[in-house]
Amino acid sequence: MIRRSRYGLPDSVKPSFMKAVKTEWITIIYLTTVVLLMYLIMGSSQAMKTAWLEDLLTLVPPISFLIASRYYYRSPNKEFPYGYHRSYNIAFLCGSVALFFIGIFLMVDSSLSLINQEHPSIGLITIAGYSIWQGWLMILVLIYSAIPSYILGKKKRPLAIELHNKILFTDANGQKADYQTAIAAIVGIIGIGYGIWWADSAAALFISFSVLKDGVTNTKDAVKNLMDSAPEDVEKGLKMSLIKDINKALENIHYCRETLIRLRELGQVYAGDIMVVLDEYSDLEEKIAEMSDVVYSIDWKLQDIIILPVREIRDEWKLKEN
Amino acid sequence: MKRKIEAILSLLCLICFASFEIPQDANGSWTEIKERGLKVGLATGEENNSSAEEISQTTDSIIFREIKLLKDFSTANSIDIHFISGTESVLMDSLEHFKLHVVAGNINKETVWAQKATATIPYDNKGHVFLVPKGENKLLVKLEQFIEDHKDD
Repeated sequence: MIRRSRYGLPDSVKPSFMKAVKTEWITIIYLTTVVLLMYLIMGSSQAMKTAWLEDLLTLVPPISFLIASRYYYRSPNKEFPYGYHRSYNIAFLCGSVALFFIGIFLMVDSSLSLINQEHPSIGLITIAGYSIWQGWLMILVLIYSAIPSYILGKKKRPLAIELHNKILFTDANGQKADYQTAIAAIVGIIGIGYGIWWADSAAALFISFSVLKDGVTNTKDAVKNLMDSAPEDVEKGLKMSLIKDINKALENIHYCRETLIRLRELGQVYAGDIMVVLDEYSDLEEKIAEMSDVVYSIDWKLQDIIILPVREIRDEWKLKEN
Repeated sequence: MKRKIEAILSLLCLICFASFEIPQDANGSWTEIKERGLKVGLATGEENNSSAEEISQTTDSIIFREIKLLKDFSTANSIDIHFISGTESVLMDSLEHFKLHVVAGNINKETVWAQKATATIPYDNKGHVFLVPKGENKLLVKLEQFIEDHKDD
């Protein structure tokens, strides 16, 4: 029997979701200004180019989040009988793969700059009649790219944890760590200023490693989700205690003798099935309804749970340790 | 958090300290120019064998302006100036190997040599530029500042 709780968010977390949507719009507007400014003044600095590309990529998670947020709550239909929750998984995978490939590109590009001993040149720029070394302007833009980013990342993190939204969490972490990229690029530019030609490419290489590391971790996580891996905690990446909680709650119902639970992540919610061995099988519909109510009351994230009454839990159904 | 603040403060101190010194040349061109003078390559066509001396007497408005601008630049900075003539490819090879400090000679900002050298800001509204070796940022900034100040001369 299938009893769905809802296809959307409960009222209690809706304000956090709306706040997350608003923060993502602010992020997109702010990042667009950063990307434009960086493009205008990046010159021939490899570190600036790498930081610019990284900032450009930072736009992928908020855009993916906003696109997915327009689909995830739609009710199941004949074409998509399990609803649209996985739009978040798809968005997460796309963002992660993009991050991975750009990481590789940046690593190769900055390594080649080092090998070819490219000496970056940064000249003068004149603004409103005042001429300054363009490197100073680059440093100013990098500071602008780091500080609001750090604040936005910090604001998004608790929202991502509350909403159990991985793409929002990836976005929050990426932005929080953006200041490291900015500092690396600033060091690279000061290096150019001091005539240390390799400082710029070395800084770019350092940034590319951080991009690649995020790309690998996130792609691995996104693929695991698409493989229906057991739900994991967004913040620490640990297996959730939810199965234990469900078991415990069902054990407290006097007619439940034994259970076997399988859960998987559907975007920011969980779906799965629970096989139950009952003491007696009369009034089955009422019993399943009662068990469903108990299960759905444990966590709002449990949203598409099938309860299957069975005579026994066969050994071949039991899940082995990995 | 304390460590992060320390790191950011150190970086800010580094930036403030650096502001008096920056930018420097990767290959010390400006120091060499101060000691031994500015070596300028004047680009000629493949068929033109004119010496630097002959070229410097030219009335060609672009070359004339370039030579005047560079001579004024050397005077303003109290440095000697030496002109050498040659084809663009020969001069670019010398520039790449730091045997020359500047290459001039009717070079446009869209030049194909931009891959091998750094173009200054244009000194006229037709987009004519000088070329300097890559990474020689002090020389570049000194020259660009002079161009900026004398653009309308």
